[in-house]
Amino acid sequence: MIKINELEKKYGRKKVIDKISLEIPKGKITSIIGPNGAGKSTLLGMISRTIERNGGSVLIDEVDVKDWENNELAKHLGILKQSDSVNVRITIEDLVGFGRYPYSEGRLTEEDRKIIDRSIGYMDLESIRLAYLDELSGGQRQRAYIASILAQDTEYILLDEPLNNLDMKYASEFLKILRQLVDDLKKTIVIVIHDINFAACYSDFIVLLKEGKLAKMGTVREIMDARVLEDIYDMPFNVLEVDGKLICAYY
Amino acid sequence: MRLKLSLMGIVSLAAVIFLLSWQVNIEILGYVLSKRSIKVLAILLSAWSIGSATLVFQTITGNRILSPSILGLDSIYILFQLLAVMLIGRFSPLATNPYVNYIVTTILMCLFSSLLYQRVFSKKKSIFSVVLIGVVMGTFFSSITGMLQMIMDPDAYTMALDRLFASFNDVEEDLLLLSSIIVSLVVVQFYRNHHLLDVIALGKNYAVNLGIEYDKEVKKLLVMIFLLISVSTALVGPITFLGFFAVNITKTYLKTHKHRILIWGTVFMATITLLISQILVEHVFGFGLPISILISIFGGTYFIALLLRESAA
Amino acid sequence: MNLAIKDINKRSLIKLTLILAAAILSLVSLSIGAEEIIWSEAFTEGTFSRTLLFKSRIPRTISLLISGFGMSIIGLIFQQISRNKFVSPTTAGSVSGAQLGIAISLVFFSKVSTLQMMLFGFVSSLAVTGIFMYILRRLKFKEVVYVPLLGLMLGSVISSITSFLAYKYNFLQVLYGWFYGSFSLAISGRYELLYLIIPTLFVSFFYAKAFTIAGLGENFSTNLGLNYRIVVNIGLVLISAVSGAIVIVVGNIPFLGLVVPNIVSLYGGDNLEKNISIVGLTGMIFILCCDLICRRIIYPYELPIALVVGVIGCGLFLMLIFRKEAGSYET
Repeated sequence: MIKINELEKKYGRKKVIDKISLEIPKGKITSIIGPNGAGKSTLLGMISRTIERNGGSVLIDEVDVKDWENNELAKHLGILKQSDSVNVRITIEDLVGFGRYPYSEGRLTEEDRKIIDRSIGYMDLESIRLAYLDELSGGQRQRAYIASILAQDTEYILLDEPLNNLDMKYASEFLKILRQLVDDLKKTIVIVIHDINFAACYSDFIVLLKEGKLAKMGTVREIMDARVLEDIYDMPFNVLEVDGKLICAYY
Repeated sequence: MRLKLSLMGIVSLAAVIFLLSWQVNIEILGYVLSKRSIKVLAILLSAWSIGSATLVFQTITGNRILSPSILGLDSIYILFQLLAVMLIGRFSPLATNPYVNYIVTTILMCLFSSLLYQRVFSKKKSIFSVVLIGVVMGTFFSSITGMLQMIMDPDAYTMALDRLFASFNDVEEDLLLLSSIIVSLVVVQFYRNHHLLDVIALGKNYAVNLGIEYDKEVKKLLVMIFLLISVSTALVGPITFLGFFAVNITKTYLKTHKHRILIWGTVFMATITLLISQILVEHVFGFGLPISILISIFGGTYFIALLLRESAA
Repeated sequence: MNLAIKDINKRSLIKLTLILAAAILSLVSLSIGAEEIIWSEAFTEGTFSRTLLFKSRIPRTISLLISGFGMSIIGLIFQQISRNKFVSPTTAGSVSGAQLGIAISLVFFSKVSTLQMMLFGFVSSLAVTGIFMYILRRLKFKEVVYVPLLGLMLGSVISSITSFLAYKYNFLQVLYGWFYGSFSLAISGRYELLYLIIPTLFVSFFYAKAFTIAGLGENFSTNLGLNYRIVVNIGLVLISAVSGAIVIVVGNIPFLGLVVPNIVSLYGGDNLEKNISIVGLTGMIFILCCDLICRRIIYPYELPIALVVGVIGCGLFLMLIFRKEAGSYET
């Protein structure tokens, strides 16, 4: 379980994250949504130790991220951020292979290779596994990074806007894979996402942020309520039920 | 603003007078004065050309750090000097007559660099690629020069060497008049175009939007920059960081973006810097230190400080 | 999986070919020079051929091999950790830093040992490289070709301080002669310093994977449990140590650390773990060839290697810039 307590982040005087406390349950998909500048990515960054915090604590399995051995944490928690600019010439296969780095720093074992192959297969990259990253389209590159996170095989997977650059087909397929990972393998996934309907259709819980504060956290049914959303986004919403899923219409 | 500008003018004038009159021996006044005024004129010329060229160059590149002296023009100059002596022979007018030599090498340098950059520009490269290519070309040419030096006839080499390491103390006085004309013409041309420069400083998209034929204008300006740098290199050799230093100090001091004022400010500031350095070299450091090294240390320290400060923000 | 095995086989084949080529070139390098070596005498005590071989030819060839290997590898590492293809010890001020350190050591000690010089060169090179990386890290405007320009200007500032010292203490000529890359002085008694590079090369190999991951960014590294800063700092130490040693024994060889890794990267990618030895071997071959050209072109005299590497290296580098630009406009 990820336990966040009074977490704070300031840039200069500006509080980007203002005393947020919440618990992210195990074995579920939790989406973080909110308007631009709400601090979604910063929150995710602090959970994953890639951004320094200014106060509060983040406990992962009861141990603070700061007290985790770096390498050990990498076996429990993986994060994919909005991609760093890439002009590096390494192959997809190598990139995915790096996901196994926390386990076998030097040589890849037979077991590692199996996991790498499986992750490449998951993201439908088999035919281009020897292509270089700088020759790929944005969507292919994003899938390669996702495959690398999958190969890392961590219990907690944090994803920062992973749908960027993916077209609708790959976006929904990817979310289905996430669903499988949670349902079959009991992974815990936290995902920062822009599209509120994707969040509603595929996640169990939704965290709503506004201006660095926690506005509301709850199940999809609790959050997908026109009044709640209108309050956060300052615009009219209309929530419909389609095939048993809640979809909101806004324009 | 006007006050600050005139203050800069007065300081440079004072420095000129100091250099001319310090410890003058009255008995040979005429001789000393004519000697010294040549030196001062040379300093003024290079200050004007390097200062204004750097200002315009930074405006085109939209960058406060770069200066045209890293384009490798000085190595082209040296290469031409060697080639002239080697290929055409050391008794030809090209090697013996400073006028002919000066005009031919200046024209060749301009032609060559324009051709080079024309090619580069026509491929629509980013300005930084152009500059980097210039820098690499510089290394390339100086390698070739080095090779030529090793394999050429020692007598011819001595001959060429004379022209390679010039300083303000031994300027070809015949060339001063010609250089003065070129430099003042170009600087006035810059001044007349100050509105254009103001717009170009805003960036390509903006300038094009305002109906300026950006590529054509930039090419014209570049040729003028090459001309100025060629002149000052031919006259006194390369002085890195002078332009950088002058432009940045001026911009900080005058706090304006108007080229109408910046041009004169930069020119004055370059003059002051160069004159003070010359005074330091002559009267403080007594060991024949070349002025370019002194300025590199000054300007360079400022350069690093500026980088660190900007990156810390 | 099949593809992957094919790839591994191909790389082994390439490595083997490169090793073979380097070996042949080394033999050629051993056997040519102003004086003929009589091979039948070379292994008999007291003959001229023997002295020539062991005091001059072998040290020179070994120096070539080590510098070629070392310079290309640290160039590769530098490009990886700075995430910029145009960065190298020459274009980031490391070499100028080493030169400044040597000048300082000459000022401080009247009789300075090469080891002391090496130490000064190393420390000062580390300082300059560190400043470069600090600026780079904070730089908001990171256009690929802007970064090396910055490094070159930083380098020229440092060089002017060196020239100032040299003028003041009257060793300008000594210094210039020295810094100008040439292998003619790599003889027995001087070149041994280069052996210090060998352990750093082992460290490079050991950290190859870490450098590759660091090249993918700080977030990516942290996620995999890699301490990004430590890896980058190790890289900086390696770069400075190797630059320092080579500058003292051989002088500055421009563009070597830039061109070789870039060319290999074009064909073999940036995975250091796979490429590091290929890059090193290519560097060896490149410098052996250049050295042969130097020694033949005005035989029986020789040109400094910096010239030949300068001409060939610049040519190749310009090609790379043009290529890079063309590529970036296609997408």
